[in-house]
Amino acid sequence: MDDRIWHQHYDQGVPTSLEYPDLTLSALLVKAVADYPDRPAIHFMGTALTYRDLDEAVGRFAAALQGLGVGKGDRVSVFMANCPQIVIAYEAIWRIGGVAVPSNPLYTGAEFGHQARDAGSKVAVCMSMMWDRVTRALPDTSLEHVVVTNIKEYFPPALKVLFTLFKEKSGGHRADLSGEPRAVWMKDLMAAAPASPQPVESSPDDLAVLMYTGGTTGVPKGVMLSHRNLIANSRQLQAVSPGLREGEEIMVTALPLTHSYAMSVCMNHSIDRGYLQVIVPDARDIKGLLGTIDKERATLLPGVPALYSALSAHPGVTGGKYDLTSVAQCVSGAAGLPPEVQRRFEELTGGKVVEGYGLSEASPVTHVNPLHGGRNGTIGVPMPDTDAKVVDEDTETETMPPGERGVLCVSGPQVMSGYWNQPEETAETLRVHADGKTWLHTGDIAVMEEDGFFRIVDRKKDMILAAGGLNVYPREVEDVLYEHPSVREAGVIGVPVGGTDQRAKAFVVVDPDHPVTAEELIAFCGERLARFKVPRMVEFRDELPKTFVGKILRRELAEEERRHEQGG
Amino acid sequence: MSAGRPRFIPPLDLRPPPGPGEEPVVWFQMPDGLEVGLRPIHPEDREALSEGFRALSDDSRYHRFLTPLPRLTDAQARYLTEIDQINHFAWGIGLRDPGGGLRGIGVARYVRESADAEAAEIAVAITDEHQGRGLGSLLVRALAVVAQTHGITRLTGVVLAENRAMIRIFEKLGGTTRSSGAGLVRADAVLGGQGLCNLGDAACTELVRVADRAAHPSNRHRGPDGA
Repeated sequence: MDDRIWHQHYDQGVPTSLEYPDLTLSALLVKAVADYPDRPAIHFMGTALTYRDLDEAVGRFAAALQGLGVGKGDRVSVFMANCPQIVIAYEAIWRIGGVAVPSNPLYTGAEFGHQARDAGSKVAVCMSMMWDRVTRALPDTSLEHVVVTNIKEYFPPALKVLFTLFKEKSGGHRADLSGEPRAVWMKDLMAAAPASPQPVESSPDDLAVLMYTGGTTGVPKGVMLSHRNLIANSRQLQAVSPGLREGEEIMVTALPLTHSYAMSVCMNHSIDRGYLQVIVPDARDIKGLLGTIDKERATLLPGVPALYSALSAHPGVTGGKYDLTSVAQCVSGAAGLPPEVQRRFEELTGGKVVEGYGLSEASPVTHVNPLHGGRNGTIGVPMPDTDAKVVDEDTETETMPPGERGVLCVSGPQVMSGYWNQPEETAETLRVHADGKTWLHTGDIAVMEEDGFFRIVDRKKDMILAAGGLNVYPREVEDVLYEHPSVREAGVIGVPVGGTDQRAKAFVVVDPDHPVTAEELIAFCGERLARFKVPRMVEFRDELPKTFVGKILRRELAEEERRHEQGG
Repeated sequence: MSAGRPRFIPPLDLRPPPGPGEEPVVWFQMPDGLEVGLRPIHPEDREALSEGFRALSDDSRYHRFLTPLPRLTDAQARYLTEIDQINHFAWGIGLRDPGGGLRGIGVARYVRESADAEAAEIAVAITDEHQGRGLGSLLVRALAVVAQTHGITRLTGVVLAENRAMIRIFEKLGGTTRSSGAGLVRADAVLGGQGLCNLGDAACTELVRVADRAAHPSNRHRGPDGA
């Protein structure tokens, strides 16, 4: 890659360009198994799987999926929280040339169904706690089989017994599959399957994942990521983290593996380097997470600012009960990293917390701060082989000089090939510039400083930044509100709920003949939307602010809300 | 007139005056051969407008109202049809209906802005199957002709950034587009430029004549009672 002004900031030993292997993600696991067969690959709630164990489970599940008719290029939905089975599912799908379609475990049946339908998934792998939701979505999908697994499958024996007795039913983990011929238990399927699948010819350019994202307005679009894209991102991440020891590091996988961030930064990166992944089923259990970091002597903890903040503030930490000094490196994504959060967590761990940036369309990481000489308030500098520039907001064609705002564009081996079945959206987002390179137009408004650090200053997209780095698009919430027979007009905005997190607030005009309460509308949304998308407040209005031709102006609503807040 | 532009189909000389209930329509042939007719929207179009709106795709409705409105409320449908034809004017566009009249496939309107009497905001909606054929561009040019006769010198738009079709219409008018954040673009086009007149003098004359008839109901043929 040609010289760029930001290369001067790279840590010592970080190259500007890398060699990428001509391999698939499956080949990375095969290599890890060959190099470190007896090293632990996964720790989960007290259970340990070596790389050999993982490989055996993957082989068997891959054969089982083949038995269900999954062939090369077929899509398989993955609707799971973090557990060993989701890693097994991803790897098994890839081993037989399939395409994984991850769905956020917080999604409702309708949201899951939409993604499975759009992707044309043939099979879904879900957890028993999602079974009810999947059942409701089934009629609207092309799913031929649903493989169900209980989170307890990989619990150690004693915990499994306790869980079955006390937690399984109350936690919604018990599922009755008897009435549904398309459903089958993962453990039964694996017990009956051959040890390994029929070999499938795969190429690094094959599709590995359809990662759904809201796009600019919230209509879900499948981001097409190839094996080559994802391996490139794994290698770029390794390159900017010098000093990590192959086969030695202990990664905490606490963020959801259905999101591109954890899939790449935690899972693919770990398997590529023979690390141990400590899988945490629920990052909101801060106490459990602290205990895990302490006990496992974890060294890598990718997260989001709210997570580092919650860990730092826990009484067990301030009281010195947990030892976090094993933590060496943390890449923080999703939202701006407040300096205080960074300083506090670095103090507690003695490690480094650096802010990065990415988007699913780029596998996802494109920028990260150097470990030494990072700059607060910035997303750092582009990773090796990653080019970046800021273009004018109006036409998105003219490169802006340093210091001036515009749309951030990136180019590199980690950038997607397009959106699934959306040629127009693809053409809008991926554009060939005069330099002959294909550039991803991120939609985020950024400034490049004189010396090559990048700052995000605004978002071109209209979205609500919910806790945990989750995005909510006003359109999808309004869509649900309009389904209610009383709602005539709706406008949804984000309102702050402490720190940088937002929650949705809905402004609605209702039919006076069909009154409805705010509680009823919130409950209505709760049945149709994942919890983080459900409006926390509903305000009734006689009319909504509109332009002359009748377009509804959410921005006006947000302004009014802000003035109201400031006015007390 | 060069290929690639809508061709005005002049009314036949000595044509009979429109019969009872018939509307004067201005006809154009699109570069792909499609023949379309334009006529002003009036209150009787309320139901057809609502029905047409419901038939639009989710994205088209979203582009038009910036919210996924599934159906027009009564108040909205009235606002969009009970118009004064001067400060608020709308062209309906349709295909020749074998039974006579027009089968509607789109609407474009301008509404004069209260803060700037020389500016008017525009909005365009075209049924999904007829998008991408240049109809929006034709409608906006036809709107511009009428707007100018009422002292409007600037057309503006609040457009979703992803709505490339609408942004291109403004660009073709020689206008500017500026991101205003949150996924929206503010578009602005000053009228009177050469770009507007490519419909031809005859077409412009006919458009003005038909719009003027709508603005002065006494001249408008309303069937036997209103005649």
